[in-house]
Amino acid sequence: MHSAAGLELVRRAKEGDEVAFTSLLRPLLEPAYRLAFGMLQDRALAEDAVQEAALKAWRKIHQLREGFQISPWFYGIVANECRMSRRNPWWSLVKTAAPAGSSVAPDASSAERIDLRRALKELPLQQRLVVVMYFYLDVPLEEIAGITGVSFAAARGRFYRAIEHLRSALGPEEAEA
Amino acid sequence: MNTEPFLRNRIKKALDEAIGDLPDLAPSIEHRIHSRSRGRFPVAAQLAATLAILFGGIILLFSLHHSSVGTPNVVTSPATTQLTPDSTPCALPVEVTGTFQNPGQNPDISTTLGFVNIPAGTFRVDPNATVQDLPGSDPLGPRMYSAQLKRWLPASSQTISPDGRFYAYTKLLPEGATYSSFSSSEVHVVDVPEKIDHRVWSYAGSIDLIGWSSAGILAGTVPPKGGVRLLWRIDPGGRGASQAPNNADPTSLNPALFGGGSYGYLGGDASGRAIVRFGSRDRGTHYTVFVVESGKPTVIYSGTAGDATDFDPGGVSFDARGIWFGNDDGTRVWLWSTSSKLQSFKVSGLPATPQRYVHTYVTIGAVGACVPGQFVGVPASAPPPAPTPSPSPVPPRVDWSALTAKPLNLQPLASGGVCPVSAKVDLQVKASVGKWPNYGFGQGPIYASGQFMWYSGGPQGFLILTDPKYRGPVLVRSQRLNGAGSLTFIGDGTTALPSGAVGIAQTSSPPYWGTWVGSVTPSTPGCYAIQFDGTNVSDVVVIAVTKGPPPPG
Repeated sequence: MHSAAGLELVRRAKEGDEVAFTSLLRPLLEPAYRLAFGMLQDRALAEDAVQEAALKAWRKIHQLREGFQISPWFYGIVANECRMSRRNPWWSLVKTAAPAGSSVAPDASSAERIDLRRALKELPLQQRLVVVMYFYLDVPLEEIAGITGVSFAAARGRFYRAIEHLRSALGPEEAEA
Repeated sequence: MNTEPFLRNRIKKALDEAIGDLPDLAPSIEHRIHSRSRGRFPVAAQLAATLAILFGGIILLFSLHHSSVGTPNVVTSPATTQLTPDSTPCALPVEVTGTFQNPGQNPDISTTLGFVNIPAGTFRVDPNATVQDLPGSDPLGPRMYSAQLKRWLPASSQTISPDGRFYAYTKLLPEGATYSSFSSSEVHVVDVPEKIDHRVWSYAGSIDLIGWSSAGILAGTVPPKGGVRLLWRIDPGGRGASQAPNNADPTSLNPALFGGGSYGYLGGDASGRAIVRFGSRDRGTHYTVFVVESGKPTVIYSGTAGDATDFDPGGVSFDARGIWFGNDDGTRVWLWSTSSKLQSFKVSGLPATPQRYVHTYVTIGAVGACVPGQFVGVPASAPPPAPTPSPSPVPPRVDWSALTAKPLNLQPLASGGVCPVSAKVDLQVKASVGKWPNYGFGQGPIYASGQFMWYSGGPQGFLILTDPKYRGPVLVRSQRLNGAGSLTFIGDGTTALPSGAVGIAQTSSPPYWGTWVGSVTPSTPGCYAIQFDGTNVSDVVVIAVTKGPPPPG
């Protein structure tokens, strides 16, 4: 947010104005939740990640550099929370206890979507992050590079490696669709 | 990439199907923020600062005492040094990856295998570098040079045996299966001298290879339907596997070792050493690179991303001399050891940058032990230039005097005034060819795009996106609003005009957007306005130019 009003909100948030901060944050919560869900594929964990990210952002708002947009900065914190959530050992236990889903056999398109979600889960975290942001949140690669703290070329490299994985996962007939 | 829309659509559907109703997170977050921020500023901050000063000494004393009784001791490396002239020469195997791209086009990626002669730093291509004759070779997979076998392998330091004779790879079953159709996976070990491929283990799920040490091959498995990731020690001789504890994964370190936070794993070796980086590559960010050995982190380098040292580590390899690093900007390689600290070798003779690309990016990765002696090989050749679009449009002739006669409406800023940077707007750019950014700056129908941040230290990509509702020529003029300075625009299909203005004759072609690709070079940091004038449109875009070179890429 580079408008004069946006800059003013950031300035006030840095001074401890929680109303200004929450005004900045509110429009970012839905995409942040989508990002977290795409990364974790677990609604409860995604909510936790966004909640924790929001609190961390509030504590660290003074670190937001002059002239930088808040959205990529906040998404970077959310992505980091997702990474930490994945590292946390209890995550595996939660996943084990999660219900398997409907007992009705899925139709073909549902099965494809399940396959795709599974393929997404199997991507390395950094690649998954790029894929989720690019395809699910429509964030351009230049911005993803900024969010993930890597060069544009590195983000692009991750993106194309992930695409190759996903194309394999979808099978040749679908990749050519 | 023609599968992009297909994938985008499928991924959105797949995740939307699972995400369900979106929760309203705002109330609970705002409540938590409110409950945590009572009295936070400014009194609490001042109080905290006072307390910090009062207790700082106590905490420091506690920390020193604590470290003396077992907390990992972080050893700081001093400044970099140059290799002494009498060091034994060797040839470091490297993988040089060039990524070249024009906006809206898929990147052209070229990978070259060769050696950097140490200490001279000259790069030479290995014309015999091939792995196609070995099993498990994947065009996108890893490459490394085995000094023992005197050849390149489709392996990495994580998948090669400690003696360098074997490497491991995974295979999906049934034959030809993909990740959506596989039923099981196998781990194979290839005896390179004998060229024998052994199947040593199988699992009804996916397998990722993590490392190979004297204790066996460490692998992680995930069941086909998802679930708990398990670690295994696989006997490379094919006598089965035993489950390994979660802490056996050398890539999963306890962040508390470094004071908390997230880290990036750069590589490791069979003895369990791990190289990690704290702090992003974002220019100006403080970062530290550690080597962790037996749970003890040692600082290899600590600095600021983009600083004069330019330590931007890429691929990592290990040998008796120490730890070798490539550099993500392709300019140098590094050697670190506890005795000689960080040494830098400037690399020359890399493949020349091909012509007609807006973005070029070259990285070097160290992919093996440095081999005694010097490598002759062959000099690197330049990758082919970007193809010229065909047919090339012929720009119409334009009488620019009507546009240059329009007034320049760029008001200087008052002293100390805030630069009124233009807000980003979302666009849906549809061009006849390629994929273009979905954002721009300005009120339209002519938008600046291509970057979010602008830098004074050199040229950077610049796009002018023109909505098809305007299809005439565009005059581009600019001015610094808070002092002396100028922007220089360069790109195909422009007409140079007086006072640094440029004219673009060919813009949109309804129903397609106009996509002018070029570069901008600011003369100095500051606040700049760019005025776009067309026959019946005019718009001003304001950008802030930050001091320093633009980030690579």
